[in-house]
Amino acid sequence: MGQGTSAYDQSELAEFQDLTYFTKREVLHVHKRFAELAPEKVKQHGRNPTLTKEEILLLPELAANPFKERILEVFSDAGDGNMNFEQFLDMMSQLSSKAPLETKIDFAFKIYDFNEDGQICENDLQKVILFLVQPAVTGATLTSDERNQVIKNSLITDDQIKKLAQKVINEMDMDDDGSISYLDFKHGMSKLNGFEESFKVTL
Amino acid sequence: MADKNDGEDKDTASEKKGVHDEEEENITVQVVASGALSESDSDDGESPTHAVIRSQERTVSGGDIRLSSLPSRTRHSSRRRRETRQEVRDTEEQPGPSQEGDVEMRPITGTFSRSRSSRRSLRDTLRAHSRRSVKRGPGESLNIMERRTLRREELNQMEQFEIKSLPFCTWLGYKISLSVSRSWQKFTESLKDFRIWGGHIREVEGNLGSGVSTYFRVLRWLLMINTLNLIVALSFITAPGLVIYYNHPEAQTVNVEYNADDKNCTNPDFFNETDTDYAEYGNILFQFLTGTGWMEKRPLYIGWYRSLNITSNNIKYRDSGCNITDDTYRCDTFKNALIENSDEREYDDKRFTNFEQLLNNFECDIQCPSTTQERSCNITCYKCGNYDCSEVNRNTAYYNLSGDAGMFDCYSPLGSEDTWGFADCQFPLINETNELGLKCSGCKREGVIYNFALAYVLVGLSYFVLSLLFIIKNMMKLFKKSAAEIVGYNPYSELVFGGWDYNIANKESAILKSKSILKSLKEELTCDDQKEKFVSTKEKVLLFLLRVFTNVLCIGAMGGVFYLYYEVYEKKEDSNPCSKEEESALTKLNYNEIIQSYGPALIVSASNVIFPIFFEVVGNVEMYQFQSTRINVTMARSFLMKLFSVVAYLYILYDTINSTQNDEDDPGKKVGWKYNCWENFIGSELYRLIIIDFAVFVVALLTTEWLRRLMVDHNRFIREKMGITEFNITKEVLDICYKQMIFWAALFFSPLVSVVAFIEIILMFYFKKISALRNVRPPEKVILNSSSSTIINIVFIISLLVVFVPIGFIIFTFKPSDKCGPFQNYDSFIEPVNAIIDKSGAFKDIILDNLKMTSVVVVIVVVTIIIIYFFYSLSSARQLTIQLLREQIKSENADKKFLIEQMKNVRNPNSSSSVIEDKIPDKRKEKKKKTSSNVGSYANPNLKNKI
Repeated sequence: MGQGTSAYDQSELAEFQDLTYFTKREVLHVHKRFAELAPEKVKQHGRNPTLTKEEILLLPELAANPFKERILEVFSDAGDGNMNFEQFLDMMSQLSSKAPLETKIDFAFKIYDFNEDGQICENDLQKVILFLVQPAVTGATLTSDERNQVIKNSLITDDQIKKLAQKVINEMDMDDDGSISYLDFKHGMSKLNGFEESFKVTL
Repeated sequence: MADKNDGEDKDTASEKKGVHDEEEENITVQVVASGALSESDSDDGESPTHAVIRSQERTVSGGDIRLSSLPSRTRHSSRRRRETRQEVRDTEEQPGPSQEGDVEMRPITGTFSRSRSSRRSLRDTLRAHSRRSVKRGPGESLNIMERRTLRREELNQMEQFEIKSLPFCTWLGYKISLSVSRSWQKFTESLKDFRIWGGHIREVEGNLGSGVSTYFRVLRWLLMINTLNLIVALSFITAPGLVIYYNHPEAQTVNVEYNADDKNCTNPDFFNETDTDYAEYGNILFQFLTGTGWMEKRPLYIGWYRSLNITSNNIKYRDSGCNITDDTYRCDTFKNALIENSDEREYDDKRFTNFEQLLNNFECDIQCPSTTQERSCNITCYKCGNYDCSEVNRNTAYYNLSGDAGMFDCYSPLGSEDTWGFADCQFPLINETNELGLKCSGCKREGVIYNFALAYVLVGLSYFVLSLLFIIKNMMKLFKKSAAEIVGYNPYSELVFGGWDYNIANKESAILKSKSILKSLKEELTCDDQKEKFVSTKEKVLLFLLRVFTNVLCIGAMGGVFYLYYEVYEKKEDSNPCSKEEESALTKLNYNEIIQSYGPALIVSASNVIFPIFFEVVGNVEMYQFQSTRINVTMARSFLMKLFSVVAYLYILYDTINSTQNDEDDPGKKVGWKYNCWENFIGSELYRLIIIDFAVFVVALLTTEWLRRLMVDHNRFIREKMGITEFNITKEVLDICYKQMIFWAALFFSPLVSVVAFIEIILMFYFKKISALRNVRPPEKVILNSSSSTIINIVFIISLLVVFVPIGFIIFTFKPSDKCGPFQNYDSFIEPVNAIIDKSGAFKDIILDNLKMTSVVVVIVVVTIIIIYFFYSLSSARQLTIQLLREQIKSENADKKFLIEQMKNVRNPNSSSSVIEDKIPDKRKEKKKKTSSNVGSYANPNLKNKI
């Protein structure tokens, strides 16, 4: 099938442009980067193959991110981290610098809501903190072994993590229900000054 | 936290959420209805109110009833989907996914609302993704496939309903605003990306935490200030100075000759030393380091610059008869300056006194050879314009007349308004009565394009003004930011949710980043852990006495150091008469001389290294409850010390140059200075201070950081006892502040100090960075982090003003030395400005004399302070508002909780309290109001911004 610039025709590109925060050129660039991840698959399955999580994580822009697996899970259709080009494009679009703050906040909330119950609870937060202080650990789910390992490596005590999680909840929990609801999160995040700049991935 | 607990939490949370949802649902529906959208989203269909609304809206919701059988969590998610849909509406109604189109495109919505059948199919499509919706969080936008479907739907509808009949203007306006906002965003993005040393600072941040990186940020910030000064100094002083220098080499001869003639007690290094001296003795480096000798004959100092202006090439001058009142030419004429006894044709030693018209009185000597054939004369003038040359500037003009006519240049300023004039002379001239004369027609030059003295003084002031503006701008940015973050500066959530930089694309920096986050988190925790302890009255009294004692000690120590400065200076002064022996001693590079010339600077620099350590010890003795108080007190003391030492140094310099003789007529007025070129003297002393300060910095770096590191590496005892140096941020920041103060002080006297400052800051950055990454451990307690850089700004503003006071005093009141520099013909540095003001006339009546400028400066300073205060109070007022708003939100949430409880009771069939039921409608109304105001607050961007 099509390669390079001819992968999508103008009307398709226009459609992508409407659906994402990218321009036509950027769509093509993202597609190029996507195709580079698994050139074989692109050859076999055409322009929109489904890549596995591992293949997508070859992308250096994502590889260094402690939440990479969560990001992929949140964005993949089946929740397993595998995605085709359109999903990938959608993800990159929402991570791009042009995505509005609200979209980013939504996205961030989903990433940090590990157990997907619509609330960032203390457990979620502890995970977030652990991932933050130890980016080398992979895997969206943190086993207790891994957790202990992280604690050991990063010179942070279990107690401190719990305390930190509690502090964050104290700061952001406006409705006082012990966990951070979406509204709490949205409200809190719109005040953080570094968030919008730091929450973006540019391919 | 066990998983079981977590699960329970989750359940209760979702249960609550479920109820919440229903409450909010009403609002959603209402909002939707008010938005002229007929599509109702009340899927759950349980509560009677929903039913009512649904029937009103007459929407098709059959497909969604399915959801009511799902557990509450699913229902909850269906709400999410609804929110989503609203977003999608926004997205689909506009070509791009940008938000601002929402309002403008409203009209279309009305049209769309008619197409219910297509809505249904749309919903069917969406239902296919309900699985995802369960998984997804709230506020989720649809995935790309869903959006595409929606888009296609909408496109179809658009065609169907001829949406394209939208007024062209609206469409165009929308398009334009969209593209403008997009490109603006792009532009600001690219500006943000352009920051020098970003990588280095991030590296430091990753290794040593955000606190230490503040130091480097301040350095970068100072580099920007100094770059600004550098650009101003080079482009407005040095470059024009060089142009003048190379265009008028003869002017230099005049200057030097006259200066050399003057055998008063000059700064011996400056005038009496010839170029061969340093070459002979290999003194170049020494002189470079002390800023004397050949350095003084370079553009480094003010004394090198000429009192000339750059003029345009098309200078017009006329023959005799130029009209004085002619504005275009501003010509003056002197005519027929007659040589007495002309008929005897003896030309030697004649004195001309009647150059009447030109420049009032131009007193000149003319020396001509006795033979007329050669026709070459030397003309020396004693009086130029309004200035008595014998007093102010004895100006020579050489002219070799080799022809009948020639040109005669008067180089010196012919008054305050302009620089030099041309005089066309014809010589000899024999008039009707057979008198031999010199007929000259002179014009003041016209079309000055660069008034150097004016430029110099303006640039001298602009260093301060620019730096001040720069700092204030930075402060305002911080105030704005602090107005946004306010009371609610949430350090923990900032770090946890905003801490990770998603841009990071390599493993190494990722590790650094997470190290830095960990460090900062720990910093915050330790910060919070400091709790107040109880102190008894007796202890309080003792502490008070102790602190009185320590403060007296600190003041005493500072006084002692001042005395020491003074002593050393006296000595230096004594050993520095203008005698030949001393000069030769200097050129022999003897070590005594080095120590002598460096002595005072060395004491200042050393005391600035030692005193902070001393204050730290004192601070430890004082037993402060909080570590932060101790650090703040130490910081305040060190800061005062730095201010004091700079001011003291300047005072001593003033004392040194100050002539003991006063004017006989007016005892208050100083007639002269001890140094012929005292500006150069001050400049070289400050330059020396800068050099020695840098040397002290390097030595301190090598010993306290590198050497200690080496010792720690090789000696276990030291390793265990001391460890490597802790990076003391406050101390280091104050240190660069002190350095910047010297730069500011020196800039007026030596414009090229801006280059020195520029280089020094770059060197400092790299030295410090390399050393910090190897030899230093991060501080345990960070007082100055990036959020508290307001303090740093204030510190810099205070230092700037403190430096400005003495320098401004010099600029406004001192009489410039009359042997060097661009101001040698002026009574004060500010005079060129006053001359311009006088000339322009407009201000003349308003502002009367020199005092006026002083008052203008005072006004500027006051206005600046007012502006700062205004922003400060604005931000604190906002803080208050936000605090109130927070309170409000809290209390409303409490209300909500109560209502939820009530709702539970209502739902519960066991509690058949009809009283409660009666209350429900009221409550619900209330509730609706409240929640709708909440929802509104999120929908309304203005309100959101306020929050």
